[in-house]
This record gives sequence, C-alpha cells and structure tokens, in this order.
Amino acid sequence: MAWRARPVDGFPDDLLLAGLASGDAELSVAFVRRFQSRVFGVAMAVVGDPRQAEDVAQQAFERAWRHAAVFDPRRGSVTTWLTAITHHLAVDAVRARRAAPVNPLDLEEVLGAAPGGPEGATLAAESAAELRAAIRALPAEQGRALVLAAFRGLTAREVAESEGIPVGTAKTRIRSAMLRLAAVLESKRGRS
Amino acid sequence: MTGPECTRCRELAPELALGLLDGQERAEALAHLEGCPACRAEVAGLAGLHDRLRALVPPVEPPAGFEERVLRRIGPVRPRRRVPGWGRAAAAAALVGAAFAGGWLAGTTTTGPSAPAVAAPLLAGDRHVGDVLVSRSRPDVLSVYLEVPAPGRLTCDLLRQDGTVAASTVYDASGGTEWWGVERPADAVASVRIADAAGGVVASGKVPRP
Repeated sequence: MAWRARPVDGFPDDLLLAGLASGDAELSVAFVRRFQSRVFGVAMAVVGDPRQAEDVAQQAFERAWRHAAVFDPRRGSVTTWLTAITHHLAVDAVRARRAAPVNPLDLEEVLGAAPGGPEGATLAAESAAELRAAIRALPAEQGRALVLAAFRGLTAREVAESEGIPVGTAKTRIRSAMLRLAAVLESKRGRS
Repeated sequence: MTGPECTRCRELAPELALGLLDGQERAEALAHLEGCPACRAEVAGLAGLHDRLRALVPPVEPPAGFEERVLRRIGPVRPRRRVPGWGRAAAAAALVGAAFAGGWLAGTTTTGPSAPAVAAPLLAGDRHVGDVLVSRSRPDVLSVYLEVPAPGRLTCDLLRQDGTVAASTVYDASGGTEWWGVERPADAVASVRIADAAGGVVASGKVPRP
C-alpha cells in the first residue's frame, strides 16, 4: 500500500458523475473527457451522421447532469447508464427522420473493434471477446437483424422494411439472436 | 403465469429491452410486466444483454471542441468556488453532504443508501480541513481531500479500532488543496491520522463505512 498522487483522471466514475452534478468544473471536464468517445460512438452507431450524433451526445451529457441523482451504482456502471441514455436519445432522434435505408452489414465495424480504454486484458475484455465470437456464430440473417435493431436502433418493422421481409420474421430473427446470445453468456457464466 | 398475454409480451420483449418500443405497445408490455415475474425476468435478461452489446460499440472521438460545447450547454458548471481555507475539500463535503441529506443531489427518488460515496470529515482540532471519502463502487480505496498549509512530508497512519497502526505511509505534499487515494489494507481500519514532518498531527478523522 502506498500513497500516491491521485489525479482527477484516476477517480472512480461515480464520483466524477457526482462532480458533474454538483457543478464542479474540474470533475465535469474529467467526466466529459472520460466518456465522450463512448457516448459519441454509441450516438454515431445509431444516427450515422456526425452532426446529429454530436447533438445526441450533448443531450446525453446534459441528461446525465440533470439526472445524476437517479444513478444507482448497485444497478450497473456509469458507462452502462450513460450509454443507455445515449442510445435512447439517439433512437428518439432518428425515429422520425430516418428515410434512407440503413446499411445492413456493419457487423465488422462492431466486431472488429479491439477492446479499448482501461479495460485492457481484463475480465470485461475477455467477456466482450466472447460476446463478439457468439455474434459471429449467429446465422447471418440473425446477425444482420441484431445489428440493425441493437446497434442501429431499428424497430422490427424497420428491420423488416430494410431487409424486405415480413415483420413477424424480423421479430423472430431479433428475438432468436438475442436469446441465443443470452444463452451463450449464461452457459459461460455457469462454467466459470 | 403463462398465457396469451405472456406470449404477446415475449414477442415485444426484445424491442422493449432494446428501448425501441413506444406508445401503446410499450404501455401494454409494461402493464403486463407489473404482474408477471417470469416476463419481467426475461426482459431484464435481454436488457442486460443490450447493456453488454452497447459496450462493444467502438468509441469514436467527437469533433474538436465537443467538450467545451457540452460544458457550455450544462451552464451551471463553473470554476470551483474557492472557499477561503480549502476549496476542494469544501466542495467534496458539500457534495457528500447532499448525499447524506437523502435524495442525492437534488431531490429525487434515490436516498442515502444509493449515494455513490460516503464521507467523514478530517479535523484539525475542531476545524474541518478535509474529508475521507469511500466510493461504494471502490470500497478498497480511501480518497482523501486535505488542505495542506505548507509543502512538506506527511505521514498518514491508518488506525484500527483500538488505536494501533494498521498501516503507515508517507506522502510528499506540495501544499494547497490536495486529493489523494490510498488502498485500504485488509485489516479493519477505523480512523486516519495525518502528521507533519515534525510529528504534529495536522488532521484526523474516522473512516466512513459505505
């Protein structure tokens, strides 16, 4: 055990969030710096346009600032909470405006990414690798439906239109993909 | 319980978990979940999967100036008020005080137990000169805010309940308001005592329990 200078950058996520909520400039800057690329990445994945993604990402930080009080560390990490906020805002933002067909196959954009950030070679990175492998193992049509729904924020109806399939089929593909992934993760958890 | 409502709910579950449902369908699904633990568990499982899927999305650097624009947008962010004596510790105390007040930072549904951190004051005599904070997410780390009047070597003792020293370390402070972290040893540590190079105690206080 040793004392060490502990810059703001090393502070736990939830304390940075508290600093943002309290209007502390230094902690707010650190919070935005720590999460901006993740937030912007999630926004970009859904809206696909940098200008609109910036608007969504800004709204997400604003919402985090306003609603820091409802963050409950027992229910998940700050990253999970903040990216959920971002995802919802992004889905809302594109809901009315998306006219152009969405490129259906960006699977590698998601799956090719190396784990970044402080996770390094941690359990989190290992489990992300397992999840990527499980997605790759899905039947191709299920993988596409999953990417469109989970990463691009398309409803089953929109997936159906994009893929030229009945709505019922789109629903089944999304559901089958998610249940299969959940089962894979569950079995890994059971073994470990 | 399984019936037509469950079948319908499970059909909606993936989109509900992905945050894609709205209007009537969302209301319908949520109403069913209220009274159906089995469907609730399925949606919770799928929502947990969505959390993990989002973590796969590659980070993307936002355009230049994003950080400034965000900070401008959330207007009340301001340079920390320099409270005479010690700014950072006061800010920390205010922040954690709000947590203790119940309704962590501005009146909401959460109360004390879910506040992200607990704090206890560091005192010099009866003067509040800093805080020891313990984050609920990192209970193995003690975070110390302390107003250090002058540069110099500080010795920090982590004390057990009976006053014996569980761990002792030194830190070269540069003076001013400082913020450090220290890993908590396995022993139960009840309090912290910080002394200057001459051995005079500059601050002491209890370690809060998350």
